[in-house]
Amino acid sequence: MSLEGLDPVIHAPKRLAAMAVLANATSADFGFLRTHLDVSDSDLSKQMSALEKAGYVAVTKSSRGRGGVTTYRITRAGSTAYRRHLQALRAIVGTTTDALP
Amino acid sequence: MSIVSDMESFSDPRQDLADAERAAAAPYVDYPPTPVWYPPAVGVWAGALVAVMGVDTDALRYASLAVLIGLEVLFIAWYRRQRGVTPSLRRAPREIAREMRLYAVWAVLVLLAVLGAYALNLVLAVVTATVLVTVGLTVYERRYARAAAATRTRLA
Repeated sequence: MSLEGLDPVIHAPKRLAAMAVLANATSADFGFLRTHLDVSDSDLSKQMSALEKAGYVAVTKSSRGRGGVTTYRITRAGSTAYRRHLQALRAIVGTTTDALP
Repeated sequence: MSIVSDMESFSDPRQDLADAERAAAAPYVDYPPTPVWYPPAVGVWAGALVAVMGVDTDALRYASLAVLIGLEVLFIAWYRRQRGVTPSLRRAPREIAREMRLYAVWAVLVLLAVLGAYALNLVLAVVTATVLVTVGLTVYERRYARAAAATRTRLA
């Protein structure tokens, strides 16, 4: 099985799921990602920091309500990296269809 | 729904793709229940928008339009906060994309009906907009919920 083309930043399942959500949304807030990835606050912060550091997501923090809201959106570089990673996964499993995300 | 497999360090590529597909659908299928007041409220808003077109005084018409647009902006901001995510309109799961296309067709038909009614009578146009928008949104919300359930079942 070739691992060529897989992005090590995105390959971790939680980060892949976060990228999949963000690739299909104009933005998602911290609470939505935490609920839908089923992770703790600290774990999500760690995963999103890795994606932010790679330049794959952009973060906006607003002081809305109690404690404020952190919102994420995928960057152009992140979108490209996510598509390439999916293509690599499809190549590994021998799927050429674009029906998958 | 949980969209992440348990394996962190190494995972099956097929599982990764399945997880990614579930996660990709999440912005569309995981949302809080739509309030019951939403369809009639938007219907009344649409009727008010048509009514404003019949206002003779420019200043009053523009002021009314500004109020209606302001209400819409406030509603969108509130709804985005409630939902926590803003789904892309371009990559919806196939079950939901179908409902979105039907809704777009319905919206065009409503617009044509309101324009036709407006040519006849302003009050008729206001009633037409209010009723058709309310009914259309009520039906759309129900169909969307069924489509979201079907998507969740397919990806489970």
